[in-house]
Formats: sequence, structure tokens, C-alpha cells
Amino acid sequence: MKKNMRKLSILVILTFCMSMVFTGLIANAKTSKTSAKKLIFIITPSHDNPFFKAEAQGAEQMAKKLGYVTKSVSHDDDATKQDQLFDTAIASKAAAIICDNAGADATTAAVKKAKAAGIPTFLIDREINTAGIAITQIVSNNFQGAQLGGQEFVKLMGEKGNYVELVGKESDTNAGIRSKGYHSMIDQYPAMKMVAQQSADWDQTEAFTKMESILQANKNIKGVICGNDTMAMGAMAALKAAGKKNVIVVGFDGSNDVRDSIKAGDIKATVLQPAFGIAQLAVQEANKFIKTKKTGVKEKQLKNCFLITKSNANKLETFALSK
Amino acid sequence: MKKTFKLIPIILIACFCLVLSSCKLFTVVKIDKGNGNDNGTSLFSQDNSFDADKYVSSIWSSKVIPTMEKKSVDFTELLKALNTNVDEAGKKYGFRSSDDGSPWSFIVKGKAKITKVDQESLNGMLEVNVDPKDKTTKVIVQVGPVINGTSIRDSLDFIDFNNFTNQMDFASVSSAMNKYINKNVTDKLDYKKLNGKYIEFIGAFTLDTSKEITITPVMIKEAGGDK
Repeated sequence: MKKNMRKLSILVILTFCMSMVFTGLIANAKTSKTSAKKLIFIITPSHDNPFFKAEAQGAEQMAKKLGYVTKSVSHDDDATKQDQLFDTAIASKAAAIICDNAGADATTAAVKKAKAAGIPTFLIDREINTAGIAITQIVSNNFQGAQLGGQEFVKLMGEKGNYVELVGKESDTNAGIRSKGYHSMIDQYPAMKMVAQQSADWDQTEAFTKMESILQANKNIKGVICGNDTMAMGAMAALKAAGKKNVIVVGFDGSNDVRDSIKAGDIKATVLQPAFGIAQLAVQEANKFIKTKKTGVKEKQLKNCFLITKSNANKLETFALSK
Repeated sequence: MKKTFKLIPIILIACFCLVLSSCKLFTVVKIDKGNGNDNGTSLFSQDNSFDADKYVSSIWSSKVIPTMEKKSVDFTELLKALNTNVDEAGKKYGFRSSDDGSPWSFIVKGKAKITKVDQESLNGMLEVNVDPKDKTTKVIVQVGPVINGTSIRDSLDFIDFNNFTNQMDFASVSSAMNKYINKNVTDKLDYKKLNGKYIEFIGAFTLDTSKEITITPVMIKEAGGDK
């Protein structure tokens, strides 16, 4: 009896061991199969904003086309969260990081960290103030875009009149850049009078509420210039609700919503940032770098924005202008 | 029998190790505080260290004017080339900072008759007749006091975005150039008196999709005599 028990227990233990070994081998095989495709990590602000969603989609599509797997995450404009996401990318052994960053100074450190871990970063939309760390920076020329928008606004206003400015989220560098761009144009015309300037934090509802209050305090408003399209939509809605007609509203981004508003004759103009194209270009450059250790282009590439008015609104779709 | 029993713990441990090697029990994520700001985000570091006005006056006589005088193309000749094939004309006579289909900038010199003076707007404009045979292209020379655009900067190959800290410094170069031109170039003439007369000019323009060319001049003067 004792001998049989011994034999049985050995058999049980051995079977147990074999099954563990099998599990181990299968698990190993599985991980090595999925790691055959390289990973591209895509980090942007929240996809709630269609602009950043378009960036992520543009990057994902190009990456998949070129044979990569992707992971798209959002830093929610929080530099600490962005830092953690860079850490995750490093731990995941990403082949490249595509990033629309959460703040120039904080991002420099994150990109340096990735570089030290052997992971190249390709920045899109917003730049950092240091060269030689990211591989490329495909910068959306927000200042030039704002000058285009500001110039058009002045033209539509006949170079004179009372206007309102709705500024973006103050912690976002682009809010300041666009405002400066607008004023670099508008302030050259002394008959243009800014009667109110407030931040609506890029938010449509907040822009509506702020515009409502501004209209109550200012009876004679001829135009509203907005730091982005969602705020322009909110401002336009408030103007309509107050029965104000023929007020000149200009936005920035080139969203489908504002395109439709322009076609309907409400909002007069916006400025397109070619978000989709920039994201795709970044992935192409990443791919070239991964394969050849070179991109063949300069680090900083400035991509200009385009003015969108009724004349070309029908060529605009998801942040890309067709020919 | 006893010997085999002793082996079993070893076998067990060996198997455990093999299984564990393929398992990810946890991922180590380092938290690196870094030396950034408390709230994490920061505006562009506007350290005000780049003085665009100083930069422009320092390069104007030494680099801008000599380059433009040397590289300028006869405008009538360029118009003909543009009306034939834009891309060919761009490659032969123009400049652009990247090959991605962004617009061409051209440096031109010409002699033309002023057909209209529009100083209603602060963006004063002269409509000029460069090639009387070309009926479709509208050519404008902007004369201020407010001068807009980035054509001069964009036509010069020695001014590259990569040499500037950020897009705002880069943009401030063209703004400073426009200011400089208004003060030192275009503010010198009485255009209403020149209506119908000939002017000579050297300037730059950036081609867009419209049939309108707006030239920003770096030299403009009344031409000697009628043609």
C-alpha cells in the first residue's frame, strides 16, 4: 500500500509539473508571436476633441499600413500623466513614440528619458524649445495660422469696429500663441477695438455662457475671434440665441462642425491645421528612422495652416484639405 | 526511492521557474518626478532673448539686399514661366524650405506702370501692369503703412526655421522685416502722384492658388521716363 501511494503521489507531482511546463511554454510562445510586430505609441491630448482624435487616427492608420501595432493614449494635458505614459512606452519597448505634447519644458525631460532607453520620439503639432532630443518635430504653425485668421477677421470687419476675443485654455501653449498671432495682425489697425477678452478654456458650453454675459454688457459687438473652433461654435450659438445677426465670427482648427457652419453662412472663417497629414508624416518618418536610422529631413519642419472660408470649405474633411 | 523523492522538490522548483519566466506578474514603472513646474504644464519659455528688430537691421544691408539683388528674376520672364508650368518655374526660379508641396517664393525685379492706387485700407496697394499681354494675372505691390505676409523671409534660403528656438521667434523675423520695410522703403514715396507712372522695384512674393500676386518690395522708386 505504501509503495503504491508513493508511486501515485510521484505521478501526480510529475503530471502537475508537466502541465506547468506546458503552460509556461505556450505562454512564452504567445508573447514571442505578438512581439514580432513593432509597437508605435501614440500620445495626444484627449480624443474628446476631434482634432486630437484625427491625429491619433491618422497616425494609427499609417502605422498599421506600414506593419506596426499601435497603442493610442491621452495625457489629458497633464505633464505628469504624460511622463507616466512615456514610462509605459519605455516599459512596453515601443519602437517609436509619436507625441502631441503637454508642455514644452516638461516634455523635454520625457523625450530625453525615452532617448536614453533607445526609443526615438517624433513630436507633432507642438514643439519643444530644445533641438537634438526628439528625432523630428513636425510643428503646426499656429502663429502663422493665427495671422491668417486675424488678417481675414480684420478684412471682414472692414478694419474697424468693436470685437471680442475668446482665448483658449491658459495652460496650453497654443492658447497664447494664437492670441499673440491674432493681435500681431489686429493691433496694427487702430480702429479695431477689443471690448472683451476672456478665456473659455477651449470649451463650447463655456464659450456660450461667457458670450452670453459679454453680450449683456456690450450692446455693440461687430465681431468675435476665437482661439479654436469649439469656442466659435459656442459663441455663434449665444449670438443666435440673443438674436444678434451679421456678427463676424472666426475660429481656428478646421473642424467639420465649423466647416458646416461656414457653408450655412454663420461662422465666417476658420484656420485649418493639417492634423491628419502631420500625424501620418510623423509615422512615415518614424518608420524610415526605425529601418535606416535616418529620416532624410531636418529635425524641425514647420507646417503651415490654411485659411478656410466659404470658397474652399467644401474641400475640407476631418482636418484635411483635398485638392 | 528515497533518492527520487529528494529530486522532486528540485523538479518542482525548476518547473515553477519556467512558468514564471513567461508570466508578467507586475510591470515596474518608474516614477521620475523631474524638475518641471508644479502644475506640470508651462507656456512657451518667452525668455525674450531674441530681438527680431536687431536681427533684421543687422542682416538687411549685408545679406538681405545683396542676396535679393543677385537672385532676382526679371518679372516678365517669370510670369511667362508661371503661365507655362508652375512647378517647373518654381524649381528653376523659386525657393521653398521643404519639398512637400508648400508654396514657392520668388524674388523678382521689374519695371511696371501703376494702374491703380488704393490707400483706403491701411494695407496700401498699387496695382501694376507688368506684362500688358498677360490679362489674367493681377499684380499688386504692397506699400503700407501696414505690410503683411512672410514672402521676404520665405524667399531667403539663409533664414531657416531650424535656426530659431520656436515658431514665434521665426514669425517675429517677418514682422520685423515688414516694419523695417515700411519705415525705410515704402514710406518714402507719394503714391497718389505716381498713379499712371512707371516704377522700378525689387521684391518677393509667395505663390498661392489665386491668380493674384502680391509683391513685398525691398526697393521701390520712380522709373526714369515713360515707355
